[in-house]
Amino acid sequence: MEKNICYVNKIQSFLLNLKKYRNILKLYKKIIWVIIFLIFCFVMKKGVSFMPGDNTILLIDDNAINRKILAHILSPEYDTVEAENGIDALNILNSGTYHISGIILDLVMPKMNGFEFLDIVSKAEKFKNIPVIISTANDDEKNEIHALKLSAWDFVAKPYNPKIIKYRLKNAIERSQLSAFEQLKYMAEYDTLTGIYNRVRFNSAVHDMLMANSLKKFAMIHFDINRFKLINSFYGNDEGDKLLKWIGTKLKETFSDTELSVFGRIEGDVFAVCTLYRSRKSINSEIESLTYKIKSFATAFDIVLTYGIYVIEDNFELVDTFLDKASLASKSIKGDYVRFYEYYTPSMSLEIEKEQLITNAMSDALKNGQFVLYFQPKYNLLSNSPSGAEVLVRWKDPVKGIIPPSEFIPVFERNGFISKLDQYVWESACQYLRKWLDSGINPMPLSVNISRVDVYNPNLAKIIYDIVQKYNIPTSLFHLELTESAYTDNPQSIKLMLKELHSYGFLVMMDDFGSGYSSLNILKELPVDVLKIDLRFLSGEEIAGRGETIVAAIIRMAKLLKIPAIAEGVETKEQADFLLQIGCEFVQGYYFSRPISDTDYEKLLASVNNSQESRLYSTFDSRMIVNNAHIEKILCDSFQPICIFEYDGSNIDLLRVNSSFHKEFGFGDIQVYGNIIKNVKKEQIKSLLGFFDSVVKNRKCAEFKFSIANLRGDDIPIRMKLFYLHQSNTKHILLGLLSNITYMNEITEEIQKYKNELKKP
Amino acid sequence: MEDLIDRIKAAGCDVDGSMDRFLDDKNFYITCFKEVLKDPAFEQLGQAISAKQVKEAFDAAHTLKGIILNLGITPLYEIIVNIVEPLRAGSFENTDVYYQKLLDKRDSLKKLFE
Repeated sequence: MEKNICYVNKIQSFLLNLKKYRNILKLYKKIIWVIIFLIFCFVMKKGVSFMPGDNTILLIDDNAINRKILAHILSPEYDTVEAENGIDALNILNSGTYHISGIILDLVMPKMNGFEFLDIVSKAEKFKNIPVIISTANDDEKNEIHALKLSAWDFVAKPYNPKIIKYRLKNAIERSQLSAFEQLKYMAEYDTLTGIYNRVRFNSAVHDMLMANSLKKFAMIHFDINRFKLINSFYGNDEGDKLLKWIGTKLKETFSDTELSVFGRIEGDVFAVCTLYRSRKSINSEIESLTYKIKSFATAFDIVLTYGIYVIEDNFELVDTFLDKASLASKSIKGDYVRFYEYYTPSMSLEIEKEQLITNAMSDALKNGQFVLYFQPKYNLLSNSPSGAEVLVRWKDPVKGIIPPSEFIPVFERNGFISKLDQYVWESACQYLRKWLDSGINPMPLSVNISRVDVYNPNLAKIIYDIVQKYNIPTSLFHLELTESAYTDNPQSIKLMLKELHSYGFLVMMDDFGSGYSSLNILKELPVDVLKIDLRFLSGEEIAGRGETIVAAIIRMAKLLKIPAIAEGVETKEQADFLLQIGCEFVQGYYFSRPISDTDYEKLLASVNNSQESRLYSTFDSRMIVNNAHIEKILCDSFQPICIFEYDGSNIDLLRVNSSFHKEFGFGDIQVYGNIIKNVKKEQIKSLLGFFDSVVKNRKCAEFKFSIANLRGDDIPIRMKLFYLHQSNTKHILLGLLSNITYMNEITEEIQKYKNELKKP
Repeated sequence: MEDLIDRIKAAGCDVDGSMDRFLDDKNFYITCFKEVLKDPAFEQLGQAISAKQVKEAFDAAHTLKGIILNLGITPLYEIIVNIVEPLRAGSFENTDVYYQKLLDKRDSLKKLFE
């Protein structure tokens, strides 16, 4: 025990000394920089060049003798290169052959005179810092003034005075080098686009601030612009740059006058602020204020920022460490549509490490077939028979074993790899369907997932259709599941995409219905074909019974909307019983079957009797039948009341009626009728059901007379001609032509009375 | 060499005043002096005056003035200024007369080197 304490003390002492040494090292670094600067100044004073050919003077004069004299005057301190006119001089400058530290320029020259040359050079970024000394006649004041206006640095008069020429040249060169040094220094410390600190200067400023206030607490805030690359792509880099400059301006506005804060642009669209930490509330408030200001940038796109905050525990740690941790916090909420800032917790570091390992391995895994398809059957709750399956993907790493989707799917969605994986899954699913079809198995539909990243692809519908076509798979066997959160990202383009998918004949399910924040609005706006309800509603609820009530309401709503519903995540018998009770027909979950391998699914397929099993897609297709264009025409064009029924052997549900039906039986929601049996006289119910059974059995049109009550409660005698349309799972769709035979009955009664009268003696 | 320098001085040139800018390099001075007397600007000036081309004439005269000054060739300088100034003002007044004088003086200086 004592030994351990001794080791701990030694380590503590070492760490304390390490901090001390670090501080001393930093001081030495500063001293070294000062010495370098002093040497630089000394060297400049002495006129010593830094590079070979660094003291080359460009002599521009159309007269060779003048150039010769100047060259003679300037040697041995300077090398010279000569040009006869402005054009030749520009060629020499542009060639980059010489490192020109000064120019002596005559004004009167052919081809390009000195003024023209000066004008060009003073505006050229790479040349404007080269000092230009004008060589003039001694009575040429007017030209001297003009040249000075064009940014000439100085002038020398003819006849040449060697001492004056050399001094003026030396002074001009020194001034230009100092200016260049200052520029370099500025560029080394400041981001040239936004004018705020760059990463290097930010880091050192933060370090200085923390050292000077070592007992105070600080927070590092890291933020960036969501999907900045898309902004650049759609609106151009100029617009992107304007936004970055705007952010720099807003940072200055927000933090310049704040005591103890440093801000800067780290890279790309990433910015950081290190500021005094008083409380989470004050940091949150600063972030909200900054966000509000940034978002006031006038633009066609919505600016979304994500912030990560690290509350600094040890001011002596490296600034890069603070940035990394704040960055991890920011990454942890990427893609979250509610939270836009998050505080770092230690577990985030582990998550990012894991994510990196996944990212490193994903491409090879796809290439090497490590992603394997599994199938989770869906079941008809009434018949307890399978009705298709959802395709799921598992990662079978040869070393790590099975990696569950919850670990890699979010990573792939963040880095975009999900699109590749999804296409692989779609194609593999089609390959399975083709294989089963070719071997004579009548497969049930498979449903595949579309990630919310895929929906950004404007060609998605075509891509999926092409894959299905490639394997000659009927679209009715290939269902698509789209998670609700994908709708919230871009509802307009989703709408168009759904329209296109429907035009190809695909059935689209809304996955995880109810788990998002705008489910009902989405349902109102988008033509989804099936709802998949996540039974997480039933778990973890704070108010007992509320989850069940909501699920029951959703099932009822789905029935009213004629949208089939599947409850997924069914794990217990109690849940299954509850769902049966509330009329949910289709289920998926571990209670019925966990996801199974292709081999096991094929065995399941083989064991199912196709003619008797429930077909999930048939139920969904009945919706299409009910809304079919031909049916629509029949309903609209007929003056006779027409109904479309759904019959399951004991209930006759009204699906659709035409306006003539309303006129005949009263206006109102057809759901008021619901199961029409309740509106039929008790003594006629058995006969009516028998009539429906016979039409279903024989698939032939037949007539039947019965009475049905209208909304006022009056019994109306009806003659119905019933046509069989389609089987839908265990239900049958039939069309009925109704005739009100009240008048006919009255006439018949009267005729019978008359006949009876005639028979009387 | 010294003899030549004396003759140039005797012709009225400011050799001593120029030697500073030639860093007392008499050989270099002599070389440049000879080149000045052969400079094509003399002919260019004549052509431009004949063709009444003000800009070209002024440029040539201005060039000559500069090199003449640098070499301290005072006899030529005193003539050239009477050509440069009118041309600067856009006038050819007496330029042809002074031009001829310029050429005559140049030729006489050329003889110093024979």
